[in-house]
Order: sequence, then C-alpha cells, then structure tokens
Amino acid sequence: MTAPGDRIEEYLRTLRASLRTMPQETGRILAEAENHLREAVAAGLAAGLTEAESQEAAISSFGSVRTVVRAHEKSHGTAAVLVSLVMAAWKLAWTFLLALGAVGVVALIFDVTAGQPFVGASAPRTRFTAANCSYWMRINPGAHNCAQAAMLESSGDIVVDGVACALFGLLLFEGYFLVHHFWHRRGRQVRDVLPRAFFPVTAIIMFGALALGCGLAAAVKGARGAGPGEWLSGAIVCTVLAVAYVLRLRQVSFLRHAPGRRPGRAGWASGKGR
Amino acid sequence: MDREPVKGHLELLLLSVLAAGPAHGYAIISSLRTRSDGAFDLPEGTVYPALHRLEDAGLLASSWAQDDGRKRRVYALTDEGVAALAARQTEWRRFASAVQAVAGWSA
Repeated sequence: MTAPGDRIEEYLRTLRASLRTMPQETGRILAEAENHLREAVAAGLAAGLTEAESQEAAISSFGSVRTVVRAHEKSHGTAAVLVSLVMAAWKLAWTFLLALGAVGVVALIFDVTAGQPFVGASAPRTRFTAANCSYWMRINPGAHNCAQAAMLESSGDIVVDGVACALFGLLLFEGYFLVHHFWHRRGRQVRDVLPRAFFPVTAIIMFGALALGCGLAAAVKGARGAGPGEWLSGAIVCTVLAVAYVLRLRQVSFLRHAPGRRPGRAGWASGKGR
Repeated sequence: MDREPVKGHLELLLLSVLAAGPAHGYAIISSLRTRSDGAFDLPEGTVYPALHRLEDAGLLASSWAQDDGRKRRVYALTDEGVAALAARQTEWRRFASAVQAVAGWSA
C-alpha cells in the first residue's frame, strides 16, 4: 500500500511515463527502481529520518527522472537510434500512402457530388496538339472535346492512383508489423528510443505543410492539370491527419506530465524480467 | 570526485563487487559506495542500465528472489563474467602501473 502523497509513487509514475522502452523492459526497470527506493527509504527511517525526509533522500540519491531515463537511453547505443529512425520513416511512409488512398476516396466523393470537372479540370490555357487530342479522345470516346476528355481522364486518375497507393501502403503496413512480430518471437525487441513526441511532430510538420500547399493550390482553382477538387481532397485529408497528430502529441505530453494518472501496479510491481 | 572517470570504469567496478557473491541492485550500489569510501557516488538509478548491459553481454545473470517479504532482482557473475573480470583487472593493473611510471609517483 502506498500513502496518499507518496513521493516514491509520484516519482515512479513520472519515470514510467518518460521511459521509451518496451513494456516488459519498462516493468523490470520500474520494479527495480521501486525496490531500490523503498529499501533506501527503510534505511533512512532506520537512521532516524522522517518518512518525508527518507523519501526525499532516496529520490535524490537515485537521480532525477531525466538522468535515469537518459542513462537507459544511452545504453541503447547508435544502432538502436538508427533502427528507431528507420522504423519511424517506414511508419511515415505507410501513413502517407494510406493518406493518398484516403485522398482518392474523398476525390471520388467530389466526383459524384460536385461533378468530374471540379476534380479533374485541365489547367487553364492548356493547348492540345492534334496528336495528344486524338490520344485523349481515344481514351474517353464519350467526351465532347479534347479538354473534356483530358479532364475525365485526370478525375479518374486520382481515384485509381489513390487505390494503388493505398494497396502499397497496406503492404508496407503489413511488413512493418511483421518485423515487430518477427523480432518479438525471437525474444528481441524493436525498441523505439526516439523521444515520444518525435513521430507526432514529424507527422504534424509533413501533413501540415501538405495541407497548406494543397489548400493554396485549391484556392487558385487547381494547378498542374488538376482541378480544385483534387487539391481540396488532399487538403482535407492532410488537415485531418495533422489535427489527429496534434491530439496525439497532446496525449503524449499529458502522459508525461499528468500527476493524477495512476498506472496499474502490475506495470512495475510484477515485472518478471526479460 | 569527478563522475566521468567512474562511468568509464563502472562495468569493471560492478563486476568486482559481484565477485564477492550474488547481490541485488541496492546492495551492489551500497557496496560500491562503501568500498570506495564514498568516492564513487553516482546517481544510483544510473547503475541499473550498466547492470542490464552486462547481463545483455552475458557477463551477468539475474533472477527475481524473495527476501524479507521483498522481491529483488539478484545479479551474479557468469563464467564469462568471471573471465572478463580477470581480463579487465589485468588490463587495469597494466594501465595503472603505466600511469604511475609516467607520473612519477608510487602508491
């Protein structure tokens, strides 16, 4: 049992939220830290200190959460940092490809609701040569003219490209989790030693910039042969993702700082080692 | 005492403490402090990653043990750990005597 206001409990809670280790390893680190601190408190009490003084002294000798976390992170080495970066890039790649799939879906909705010219309008002042005009007309024989044929083609392309990207993204997603599963089955871990905020911040920057770029392109009524609907689809999906990662970042910060969050005791008291 | 040199030799120091017999983290750290007469006074929480590293390298083995109603992780030298300790002690002695010879003082 821990008394209310127990500083050891508070320290362990902060340590737990700050560690960038796999659950089993975190459990062991916390169990050892708790045993050590409780032992140090008992020694302090035996030496005549009060409970509060003993806890203060135990925590002070153990080191700040930052110091302890850094010591555990340093023990990971450069290889672990590189593996974490590769895994983060991999995750970002499948997130991006799945986002392109979502862009295709939104574009399809615009195709149906606002009409294909909204999504696939060809760039203004486009000049069609006889050769490429006959090419567009051959692909879309129902079109009234070259510009309409090109527009119909580009409005369909965004949906088809989105589906292709989503399928490739799903393959990368599957591979990502297979790697985790493979390492886990071999009794090893793919440790993420990067700061918790690293991935959300990277995703916010990437999707935020893309949302802004797509929004601007949509505002100037399309660019590079695409209609405003295509850019608007991109802006909507990227904005949703950027906002989702802002919320994720807030959650990560909350986990790190929330004083009232009480992790399950099993998290650190029942660690069974590696 | 400056902590940096201690960190550089922490693994040798931990292996040396465990040469006396298996011990849990708190006892290892207390022994380190007592045997160095307080000179090796590191933040205690930073010693555990070194113990984990030694275990990953196969120089230590550990298991949970129940003692006085308290569950503790007890560390012990493996055969590889004993050999590594002997090698590092030899290396350290050679280094210390070389420094001693160059610095021109005797212990």
